[in-house]
Amino acid sequence: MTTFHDEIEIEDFEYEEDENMYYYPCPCGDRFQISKEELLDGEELATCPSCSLVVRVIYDVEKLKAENEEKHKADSNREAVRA
Amino acid sequence: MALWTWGANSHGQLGVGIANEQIEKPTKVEVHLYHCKINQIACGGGHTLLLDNEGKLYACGWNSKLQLARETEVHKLERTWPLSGVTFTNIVCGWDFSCGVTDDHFLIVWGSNSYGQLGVPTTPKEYFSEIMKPIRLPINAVLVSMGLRHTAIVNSKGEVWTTGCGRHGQLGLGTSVLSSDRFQKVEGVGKISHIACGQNHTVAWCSEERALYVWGDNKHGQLLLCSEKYKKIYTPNKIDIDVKQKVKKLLSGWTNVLLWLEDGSLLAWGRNNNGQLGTDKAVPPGTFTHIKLPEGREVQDVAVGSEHTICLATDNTLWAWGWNEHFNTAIDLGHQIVKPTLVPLEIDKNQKITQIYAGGAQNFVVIEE
Repeated sequence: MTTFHDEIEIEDFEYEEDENMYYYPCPCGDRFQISKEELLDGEELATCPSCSLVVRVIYDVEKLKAENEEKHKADSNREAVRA
Repeated sequence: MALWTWGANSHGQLGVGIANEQIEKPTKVEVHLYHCKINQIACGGGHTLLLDNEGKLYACGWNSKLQLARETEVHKLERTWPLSGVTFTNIVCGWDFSCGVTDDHFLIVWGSNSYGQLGVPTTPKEYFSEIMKPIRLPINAVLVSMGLRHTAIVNSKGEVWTTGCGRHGQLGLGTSVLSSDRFQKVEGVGKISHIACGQNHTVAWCSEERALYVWGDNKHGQLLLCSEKYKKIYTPNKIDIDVKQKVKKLLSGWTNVLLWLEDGSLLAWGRNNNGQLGTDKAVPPGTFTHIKLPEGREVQDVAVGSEHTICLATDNTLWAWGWNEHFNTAIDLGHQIVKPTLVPLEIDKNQKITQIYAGGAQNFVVIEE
């Protein structure tokens, strides 16, 4: 079993829209990271590229899916208006 | 005067000219100080600031949020020329943000302001960037501490003012203020003489009352309160820990706290999953442990990183404990050092360690002939 360094709520992650990535600081100086796609797939472990530490993301996968669809809809509506 | 460093170096924060995973052995840092001496070093998550004895600033490491107060990332400590007209008397680093107190009592802040941690407005978004170049605030800060995403200052009256992220109660402004982009006064504390910000918490010491004030996240007992009963505290909680001594330093890691008293004792509490408390014994949340250096050595100075501690003894030996995955302690004994252990520094008998600094997973020591 993996031991988590910590459990971090998704609200504490910083989301970078261009990369579709969620980030949270790691005590080593780098950042834990997990993609939105991974979260939507139910993956909940964010890893740090510089060390062995792992944090568990506390989030509601259904809520995230709903928000994601909502956003897609809004984006495509905007596209439609522009067209 | 020579500067030595070791630990995590993913962003070139050690100033040795490269960025790599880590520097395992204490290594000499080449820094051109223009005939000055080192007065102070501050370590952030991935960056480092240095202050010389003329109050001039140097920086290296991660610069994604302009936390170096310069345009580009550098892996060697270089003068921050954009601030060359300013004389600093104190420098402090948060995770990816920084500040300096000037000789004319202003607070200059720079770096990430994503959470309002610089005390500078964050909205409207079209006018305010989350990344700030140095800006001078009319704030007379006698003490400053910066955590992961919040900042606390103490003014000349001993009042505490906080700004930044408060989701976990770390601002101490009550349950209705869970974030702030301006400094706001924390009510319900005595005259504060020492302050330290951690990952999501704040601890403060009142010399007059010899009492500790705590607020924020207590998931790991970092507030010296039982973590089952008190998960988060949104306003200051006063704790009498029956200390009759004066406090020399109050320091915080991410989730551990260290109190160094005038009689030399080191009290530590909070998380101990990596030996942060210098013991392999369990320290139940709400209680503290005494850290003792081997063979009765006395403490000369102590510095705390995110999850490790370094401690200088009066006999010129350096000791360390805590998380060690990146050779945070420079000791080659695995990922955790669970008790004070000698740091292998190759120095001559005529050389003396005069200053020690830690932060994040990095360390600096100043050695003089």
